[in-house]
Amino acid sequence: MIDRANWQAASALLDEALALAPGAYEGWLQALRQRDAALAATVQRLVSRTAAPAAAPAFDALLQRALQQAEPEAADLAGRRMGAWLLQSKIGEGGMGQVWLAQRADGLYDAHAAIKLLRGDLQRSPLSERFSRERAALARLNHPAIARLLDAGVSDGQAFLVLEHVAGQTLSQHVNGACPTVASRVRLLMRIAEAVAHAHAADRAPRPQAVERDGHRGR
Amino acid sequence: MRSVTQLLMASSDGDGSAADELFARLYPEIKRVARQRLAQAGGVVGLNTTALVHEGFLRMADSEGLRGASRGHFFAYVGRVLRSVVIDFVRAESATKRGGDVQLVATLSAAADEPAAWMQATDLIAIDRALRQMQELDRPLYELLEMLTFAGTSVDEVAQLRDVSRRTVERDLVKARALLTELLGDPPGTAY
Repeated sequence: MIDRANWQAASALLDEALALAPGAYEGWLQALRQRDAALAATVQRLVSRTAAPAAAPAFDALLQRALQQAEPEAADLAGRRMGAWLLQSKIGEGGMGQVWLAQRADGLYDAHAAIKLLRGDLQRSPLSERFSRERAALARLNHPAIARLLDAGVSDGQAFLVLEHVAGQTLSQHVNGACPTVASRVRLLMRIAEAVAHAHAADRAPRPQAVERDGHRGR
Repeated sequence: MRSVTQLLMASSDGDGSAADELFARLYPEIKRVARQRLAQAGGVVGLNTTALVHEGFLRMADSEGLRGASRGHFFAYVGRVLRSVVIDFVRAESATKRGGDVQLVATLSAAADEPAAWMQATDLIAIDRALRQMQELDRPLYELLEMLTFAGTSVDEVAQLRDVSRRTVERDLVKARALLTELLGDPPGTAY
């Protein structure tokens, strides 16, 4: 298999070969063969591969079908059980996945929580490590302005976090409605900054965007 | 929070965490834009799908203020996402159909309405693997293939983005195809 150093040498020679006047190729290749037979063989093979015509890809047709298909993530998760919790309705969706309102379903006590689900296509990606890191970091956090981690697990291969549910508004809604003055906005910002500082102290990789989600506690 | 431009540049320099963040931030958006463009067009577009959705990505690049190199990285990234959308689709289809890959290939080829569909479902997965190798070997050539083959970018557009002549782009494309074929280990003469 061609490696990096190999390719760099071959790439420069391929440029040369493609720029040759018609009829000059055989002599050029012969000279190269005398200098470096292995490299000449690679270049010759690559040149023969350039003869391929540019075919119209059927990729377009596949892409069309893939895009027109119903979003698999839109599969209704309502009513699905995740550990001791029952998913009720979707609260939000971000790059990492969805957030659902959930109800305790094992009858031990009556409670609501927010459940964060890692997007299906990310389960095998390095992002799932970040999800685990977030779980570890949240478990260590105990701050009045940060939503508490209540539970976590994996259900049918789907990783989830159970967080304290905050029935609030988004930060911008809250600011527009409840913080008309600059002074009140600065006070709110300071409280958020304290929470972020607390998260920083607990973990080197905090998630400040999580705090932006609502006025008092973030997810 | 890092901007999309910063993420694209860092990711192209091999920053793994930037690549992760980019994936989380852009993947769903790219998918959404592509679906939306297709829905707007209504009806069957078939072989113009990538060119059609490309227009949506031009607007996305403009609104993110992407210029020069980062704009090029972005279109290459779009190609990668669209490819993975298709691969996920193909995998899901083959999972639901008990017949497996062989039957799937027949179905998809018929749907593509091309007697000699050059890219079959199983090929697509091999191409994905070869492209990842190519990314390590020669990033500019790799990005060129993503842009031209999978993201609907035109040769003129790439020439403009890279500030080179059309001729140079065409020569690089010949090289890129040759390298891809080499990495796939196919007999010489196979077209991609």
